[in-house]
Amino acid sequence: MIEAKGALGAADNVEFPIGGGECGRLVREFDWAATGLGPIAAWPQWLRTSVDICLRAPIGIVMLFGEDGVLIYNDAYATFAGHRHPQLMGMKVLEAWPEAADLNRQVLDTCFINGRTLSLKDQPLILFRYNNAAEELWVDLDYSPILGEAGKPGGVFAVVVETTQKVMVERTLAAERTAVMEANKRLSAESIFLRDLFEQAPSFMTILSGPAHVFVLANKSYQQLIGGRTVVGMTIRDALPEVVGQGFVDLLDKVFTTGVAHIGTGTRITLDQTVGGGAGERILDFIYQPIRNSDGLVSGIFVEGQDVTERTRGEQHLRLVVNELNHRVKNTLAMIQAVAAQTFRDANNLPQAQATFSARIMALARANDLLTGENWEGASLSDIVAGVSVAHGGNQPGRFSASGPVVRLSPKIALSLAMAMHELATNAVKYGSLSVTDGKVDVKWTVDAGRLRIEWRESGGPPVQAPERRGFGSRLVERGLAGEMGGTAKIDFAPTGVVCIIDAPMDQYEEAD
Amino acid sequence: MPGSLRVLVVEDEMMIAMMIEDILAELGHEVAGVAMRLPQALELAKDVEADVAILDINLDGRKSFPAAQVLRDRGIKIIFASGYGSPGLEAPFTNEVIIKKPFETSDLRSALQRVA
Repeated sequence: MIEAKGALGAADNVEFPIGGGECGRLVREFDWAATGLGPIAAWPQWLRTSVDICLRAPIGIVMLFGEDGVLIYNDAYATFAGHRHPQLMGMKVLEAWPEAADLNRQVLDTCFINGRTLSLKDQPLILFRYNNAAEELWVDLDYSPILGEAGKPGGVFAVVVETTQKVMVERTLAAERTAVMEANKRLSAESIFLRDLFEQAPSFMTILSGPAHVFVLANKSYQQLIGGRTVVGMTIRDALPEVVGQGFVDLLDKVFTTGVAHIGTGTRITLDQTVGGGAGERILDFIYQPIRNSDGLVSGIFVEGQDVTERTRGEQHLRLVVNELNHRVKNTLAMIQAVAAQTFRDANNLPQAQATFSARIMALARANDLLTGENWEGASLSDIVAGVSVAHGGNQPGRFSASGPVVRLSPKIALSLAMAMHELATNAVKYGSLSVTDGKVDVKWTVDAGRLRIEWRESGGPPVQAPERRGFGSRLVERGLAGEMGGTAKIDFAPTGVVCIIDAPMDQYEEAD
Repeated sequence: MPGSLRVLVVEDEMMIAMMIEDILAELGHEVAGVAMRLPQALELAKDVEADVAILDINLDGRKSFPAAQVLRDRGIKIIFASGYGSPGLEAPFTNEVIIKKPFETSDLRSALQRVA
């Protein structure tokens, strides 16, 4: 027991402090004489009272006495201090907690020197409380001055409450909050992405709800399909009345009742307003897919599909073109066969027949070329005459003349006329006006009173003798061409030169201007 | 096969019409008439004295079936000719004899044997 020798009303022989737990015992046993506080028996009353209050407090309290801040604290603070207790008792604060020296200098300055209070909430600290290991913790610190003799500062009273657990919980909550916010942001972005995908999809899409098929959503392609009509919120009967009679509502009813999807391929639909705004027929590939709610019941129908109108029309056109081409090839082969049959039928000179055949095929090929150049829409009479002329020396000046108005011929007539004129020209080169240097051919045509009249007139050739037997050429012109043109064609073997006159109704031709 | 047949030729391609005429002559038949367009064919079909008609299906873009109908009603046998072959036939002529262009003398001969 320490003997109290205090002068300021401290009762002699009374133990001080009384109780105060482990820290009370430490205070009683500590050699205070070696500190700035002096022997405990000489402590003034304000100091003793402060120590009593501190030791009996149920929360962590530490007091810093004198300008060095000599520490006295209670058991609750000892718990907070960890392994640093009990050495802390009676130490100068800056030496006691060198890792928190900056903070404590500020405390001494604010509270001890200037007599003010200082409150720090959730102050982060790095302390070495256990096994000399750094540890991050948070504390609420509340400092107030302790007044000594004559109201002068005698020390600092500090309430220390560790808030590490609370801070950690808050941090976890904050992290969770951030995670939730990020997840929300992600979901929101995803939903915008999906909406954009729906909106911008090249297929048309719409969602119909309930047994009356009310439009809930319709994307851009769907809007285009129905000519930009506003349908969201309306039943299909009200929004697109024209489809009711075409069986589409019956189909939707069936999908809604049975829950079985419907797939339509190449289905025709007539819309009052469609692509481009006007009414029209479209061809669609589509699916009616039932949408089920969480109870497995059909709640609506997802409609998705493609407008295949252009593709289908393209395919139909291509099929037509291929068929037409096939037909044309067959026809050309049949014509070549006919030319061959008639060239070789009565041939007694094979090399000559071969040359004639080859020339006829060339005439056919030239007419084909001419028509191909005009996309098989026809040819002009003057082009046909020019083709025949060039192939039979017509490029020599004065040999061939051609004159007449612009007349368009159908492909068939153009071909037949080219073949007939080839025969006339061949005959002229062999026996007629083109067999001599001064001879010539004049081709003239006129259109009068709805009739086309073509005249082939040879002159300057040797005297003409009518052939004993009409050959292929004559037959082709007088029978074949006449039949083709629905008129007459006559070859006159006049002594002065061959004259051929073709006369046909004009209604099947076009006269330009 | 009966000896000589009177045959109507309906063909819009003049060379082919001429070739058919030649083949018919070669086979010992008689050409009862030639039409190269549908109006002429319809006109001829009404009163031509013929046993058989050879009809090209496509006459400058028009089908020859109306002429075929007139001929059939008159009891004249029909042989169709087409680059398309039998898929080119339409009701009520789908069971008629057809020869595919181009054809040979023997094809025409056996077609005539089938109908006569």
